[in-house]
Amino acid sequence: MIFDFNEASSRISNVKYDVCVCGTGPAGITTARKLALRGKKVLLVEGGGLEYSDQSQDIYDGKNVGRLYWGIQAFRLRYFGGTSNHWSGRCGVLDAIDFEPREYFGLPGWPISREQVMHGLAEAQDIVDIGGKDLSPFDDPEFQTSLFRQSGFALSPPTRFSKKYDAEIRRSDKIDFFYNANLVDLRLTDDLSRVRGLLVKNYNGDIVEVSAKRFVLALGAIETARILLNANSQMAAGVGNNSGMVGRCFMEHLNVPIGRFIVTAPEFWQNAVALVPTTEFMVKNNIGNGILSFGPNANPVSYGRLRVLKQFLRETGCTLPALVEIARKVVSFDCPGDGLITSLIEQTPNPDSRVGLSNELDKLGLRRVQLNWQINDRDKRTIRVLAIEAAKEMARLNRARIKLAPFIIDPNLEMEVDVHAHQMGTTRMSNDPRYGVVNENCQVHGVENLYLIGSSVFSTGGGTNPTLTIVLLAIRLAEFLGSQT
Amino acid sequence: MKKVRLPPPAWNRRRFCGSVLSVISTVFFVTPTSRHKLELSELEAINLDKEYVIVSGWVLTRQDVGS
Repeated sequence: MIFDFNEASSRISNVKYDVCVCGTGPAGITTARKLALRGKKVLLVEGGGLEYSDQSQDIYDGKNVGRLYWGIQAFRLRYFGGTSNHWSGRCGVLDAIDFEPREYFGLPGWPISREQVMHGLAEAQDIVDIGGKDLSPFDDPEFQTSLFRQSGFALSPPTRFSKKYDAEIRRSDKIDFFYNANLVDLRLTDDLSRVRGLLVKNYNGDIVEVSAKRFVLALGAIETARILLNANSQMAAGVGNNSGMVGRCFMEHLNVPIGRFIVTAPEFWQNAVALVPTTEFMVKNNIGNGILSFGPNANPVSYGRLRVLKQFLRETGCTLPALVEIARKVVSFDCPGDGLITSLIEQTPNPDSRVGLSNELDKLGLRRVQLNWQINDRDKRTIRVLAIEAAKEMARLNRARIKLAPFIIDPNLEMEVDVHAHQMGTTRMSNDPRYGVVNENCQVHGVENLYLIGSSVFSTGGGTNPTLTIVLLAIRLAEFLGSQT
Repeated sequence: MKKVRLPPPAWNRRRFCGSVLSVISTVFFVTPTSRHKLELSELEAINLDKEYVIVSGWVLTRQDVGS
């Protein structure tokens, strides 16, 4: 069943729900569906509408006080289906090393094993429409090296969760779905050990307290932390924040333009090449995980106002390397067979990289997010080691020659670091409350019926895109909650 | 000693080309600072280890550079 909370706010409080799930991205919808299939009565609430609106999206706006991060609002979508509405669809699975303790990361890693997450893989792959695809990294016989393997991944169509599951949710008698229903506060019992109810507000200003046996927040890494920090009417530091970890360890996957390359063995480049470091290589060098993607371009095409000039330089200059180097001082262009190396680099969990609150209020009366995203020397080391060793291996095997970006070679230059819009880690999982916000069952430490799910619980980011892992964790949480009376 | 005033330089084709090249090199190679730094780094050959060197940013084997 589906309701507009702007018009039906009174209906929400008349039903006894087993579980209330906040958020309708991949984590929220997967959790709600799985619980409903197990016979649980589920209340599903979404702050946005069924389609995009500026009114809802504006609530995601915030202030940036750290490294340049242009996606506080733009990377996220606040309506039915959440950020899956602009997901690109790349799916991969975390490696075994991602679940191992890595002391050089400074904080404990995942308290659960890879096997505990992966047992729902077949179901998760069906959910994102990549059923049966092999996602494991593999040794490429054309690339004999002990340092790198080829990345395994699959591309989802991509699945838009709202479109795919709209009909199922509408006809379900186990799910009541309210949109335009904004979570604005959590009310705890007097002993602060349980959530009594959630305060939900529509755009007319009506506020209703909803109750359930258990509550799940699936709002994404920034919004989940913001809501918990704003919920300070009974706990000054916010709910679940006894150890001050809510909002800390905000992680991204670093998108660094490693450099460009020329192909020296064209037969090797018939398929895409994406290298991931081996476990031994990472441990030996004390670095994080990542992917280096090589994109050779047989027929480069230019766009924009300078496309005619670029095409002219390509046709006249690409046979003369010296001329190309000079011409590229004026305008950047590719030659046939050239390629760019892009990357997805794991960021270490860093308590100084954090989501906090600004003093500005949104239209619902909550303090807006203030993001202080930081990277550290360990992250820069991961980037440099991966880039240089990959360049050496390509030269050793005579597959290509790589020209590294100046900031890779010279540590005194500012590193050009962009991101992949993978926000993670602000309510990280750890069985030790000093280092995390949720335990291995995604339950908030000290609040026995409050659970968090999504990329916010990632203990480490790993070296692959996070959506499939988000769905895997949601399946695991739903199975756990489904087994509770 | 009497100072002798020298005549102005002849404005021939060679000096004209030199001036134009000077302006271009100033614009594209000296400013902005980042371009200048790029030029300096590209002039360097860096020994990565006993098997590899970086020349003008390219990671090459020693066989590539004939050493």
